[in-house]
Amino acid sequence: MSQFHFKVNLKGMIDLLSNHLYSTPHVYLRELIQNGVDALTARKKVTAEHEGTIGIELFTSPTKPPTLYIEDNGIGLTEEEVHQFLSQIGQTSKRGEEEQDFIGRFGVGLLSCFIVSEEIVLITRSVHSDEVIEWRGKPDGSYQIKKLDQEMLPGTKVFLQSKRGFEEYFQPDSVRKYVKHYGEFLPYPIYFYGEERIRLNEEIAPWEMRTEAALQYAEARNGARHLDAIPLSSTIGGVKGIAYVLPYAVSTNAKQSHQVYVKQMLLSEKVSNILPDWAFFVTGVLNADGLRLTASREEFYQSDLLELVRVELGDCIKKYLVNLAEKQSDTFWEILDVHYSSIKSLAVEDDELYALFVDWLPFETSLGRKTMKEIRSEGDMILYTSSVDQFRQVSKVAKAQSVLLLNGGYVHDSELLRKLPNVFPELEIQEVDASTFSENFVDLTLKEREEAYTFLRVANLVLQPFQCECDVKKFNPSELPALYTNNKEASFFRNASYTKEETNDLFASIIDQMVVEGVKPTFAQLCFNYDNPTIQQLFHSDDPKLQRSVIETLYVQALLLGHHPLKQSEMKLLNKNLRQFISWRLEK
Amino acid sequence: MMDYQKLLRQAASLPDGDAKLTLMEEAIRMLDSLQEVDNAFYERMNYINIAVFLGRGEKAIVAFAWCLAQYDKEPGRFVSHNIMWTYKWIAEHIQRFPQISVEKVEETLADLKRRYQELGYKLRPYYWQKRKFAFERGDLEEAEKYFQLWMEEPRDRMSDCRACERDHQVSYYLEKDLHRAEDLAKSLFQGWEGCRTVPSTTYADFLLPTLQAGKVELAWQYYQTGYPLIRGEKGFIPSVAKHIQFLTVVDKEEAAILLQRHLPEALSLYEKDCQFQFFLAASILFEEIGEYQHTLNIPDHVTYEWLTNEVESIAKKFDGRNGNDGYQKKIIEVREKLEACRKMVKPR
Repeated sequence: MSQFHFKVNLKGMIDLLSNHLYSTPHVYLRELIQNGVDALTARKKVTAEHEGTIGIELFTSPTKPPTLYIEDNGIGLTEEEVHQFLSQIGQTSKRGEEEQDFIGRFGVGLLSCFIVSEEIVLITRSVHSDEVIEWRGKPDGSYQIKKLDQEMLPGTKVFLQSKRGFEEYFQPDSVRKYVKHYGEFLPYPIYFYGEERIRLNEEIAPWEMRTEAALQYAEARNGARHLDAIPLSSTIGGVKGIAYVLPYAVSTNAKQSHQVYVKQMLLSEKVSNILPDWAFFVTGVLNADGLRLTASREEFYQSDLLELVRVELGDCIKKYLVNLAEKQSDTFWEILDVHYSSIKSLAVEDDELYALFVDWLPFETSLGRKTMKEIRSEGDMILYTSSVDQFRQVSKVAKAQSVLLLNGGYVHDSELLRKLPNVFPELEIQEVDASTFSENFVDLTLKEREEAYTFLRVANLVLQPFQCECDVKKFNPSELPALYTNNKEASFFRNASYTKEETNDLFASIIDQMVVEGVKPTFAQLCFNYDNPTIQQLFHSDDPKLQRSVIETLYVQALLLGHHPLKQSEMKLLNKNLRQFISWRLEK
Repeated sequence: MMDYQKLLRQAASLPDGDAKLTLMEEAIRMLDSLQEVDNAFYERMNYINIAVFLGRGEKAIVAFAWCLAQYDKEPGRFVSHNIMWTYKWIAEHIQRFPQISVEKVEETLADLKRRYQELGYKLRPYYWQKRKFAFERGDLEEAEKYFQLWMEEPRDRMSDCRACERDHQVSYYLEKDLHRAEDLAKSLFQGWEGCRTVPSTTYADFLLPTLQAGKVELAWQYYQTGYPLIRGEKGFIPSVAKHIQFLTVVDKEEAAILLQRHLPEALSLYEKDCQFQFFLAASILFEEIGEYQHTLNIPDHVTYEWLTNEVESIAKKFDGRNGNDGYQKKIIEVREKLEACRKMVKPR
């Protein structure tokens, strides 16, 4: 039996890499700088006091495509290392115990140069040798090595000539821009040699700055002042960073993207999974050294370590908030005003923060927006509805009666309310729905009841086919003739039977089976207001036909006020009565 | 701005949950009364999309029934791709209600098949649903047949996403060949493939089989990586149930915390199948924590007796519908699995 090797088509591989692994051809610059930085780091291990630098230059001529030149005075490679590391895909010189000191991991970085160039020319001299080696690699997988008869200090130089059609990636402005983009905070100076030498990277990264300096840095960069800057650190993930508190409110389901660096090289500006989800009110600039990257080096590998880091970083933000609440500085009020919904979602999960913040959090009530402290000052009994729908049904009535009713329908609000007695044992929290609320309406006296008796009997008869129960009570505001209320079940029931009329036989029967057995048939309620003048007139009407028509019309009107689409039978009711009223009027 | 637009805008600012659905329902009611058919259709489709992932099948089914009727009423007015894509979900959720008869589920699947064929889509999703329904009813022969048909049918744009299909395969091997399942799941766990539900659910699926195989550390890793993905999400009750089962064996106190955290959602569900899994996990946990259960912060009516009653009665309903004792068997199986897992864990 003979053994053979696959031939891997390198051109196809490069095509794959360039089209699928990397997001833009500009990454070739990142890969080149990265190799330089790793070479410098390796050299520093040999000579601690060595001052590493990276230099970049562009050669342009009117006749030839532009060429990029990049040099470093790092560790360099011996001939053997060149064979081993530059010429085998997937092989990296950065293996072994010291792996985490280096940025690169996959040994595919140099290949990204073939996205923009037909040839890589690399000249190198190792600190361990006097030989100067030239390596020329081509995208078809062939390469040549020769020893150069020349003097060179240890280090590596790379020449890349632009492929036709890729000249834009070799323009001085864009090269400077992208080198800065990826390598702004690298620990070694990166110089660009143009008409004069300029340093492209910063001397200090935001995560090394003090708060005020970090804020100024971000302001100079984005033109907007953040509310504050929170220092972040995680020992297990080797993370240091800054979380900027956004100056505007963000929706609670927004995912913030954070600018993340690994070994001070930009990984991505769109990493969202490094901070906890609830931290959507900050945007981070972070450097992480201890986390593993996916092959594209543009994301973190999802792992339990990442999860632990996320918790640790979340704790930094939490500690900051605790501190803020204790001091109650201007920043506290500013942040609360803008980011209360974020703080709410945090307080649901965290008892300490809950106790500190709950008094200052705003809630929607029947008497307008109020903080919990204001709400508490109204009394020890707190009423709330668990859905927005329920709140809408009765908030008008509650307001007219000066009853403070909280809308617990928004995210987290119900949960926050239910936790109240843990902090304030004197408080009693009660969930009300529209129907329990209307049970608190004032009952009629015996005499009044007699007065309403005939009317109520007619009303119940008339509305029974619509799964609606009627009652008469006294409530404010008296301008409201009737209040239509239903709970979640009745509302679902109504929607289901409305849809049943519209859909095909198969789904009509499915809805039937699902609803009939699955949902308790609950009646909606229509409560007439004894104090309303129209209702008063109706009690004393001796025309049963008129009574009937008005009851039906009030019912339909109440439905429309509550934005309930009418079923066919209800639509008929409306039409019939309209015609009736018109003809009565004309007959007179 | 119209009222319904205001509501929709408010809804858009909320994370997926009941509050969001309620606001959208109100907006849709308004659109219906205004007879804005196009908007009502598209908002319902959005609504279904959210409701399905929240485990609110009953709401999604009703909304879908309306959309399908509109779609049939005026062919060509609405793009078929979206509604046919949604139909897959509906066909799956219909199975989770014991009150919906086997005949109706089969009729729905046949209707789905007919429509896919008419529109030139491959039957891959249909075969998967057939396999799923057969499997849930305990008809393993039928389930196997449709699994093979599913594997043979080519993919097209109506097929489930790659991550989901990978997960389907994983679930097939999980009970019979853990090693193979692990191999298949690698690309999911390494983050190469993923979607809204996968690998969040995949981690949960691996917990007990891994623990049962004696790989305690690995099971812990699955828990530590997988649970945070669903901790703050709604619509993952069956997966939460699996995490609770795992913790019941290895860390009862943590199990009780999960129970308290997710119980309100489980109680609010109509999908009985999801409730069954959660209540079963909860009832077994209650046996373990004994007296301590009274210190839990949960509604008073949720007691051990109540939970076991619910589990029994849901099982009866499903078994009644399916004409066998598959759900009764599931109760026994879960208990046996947990027993086997306990043997793998040294007492702390």
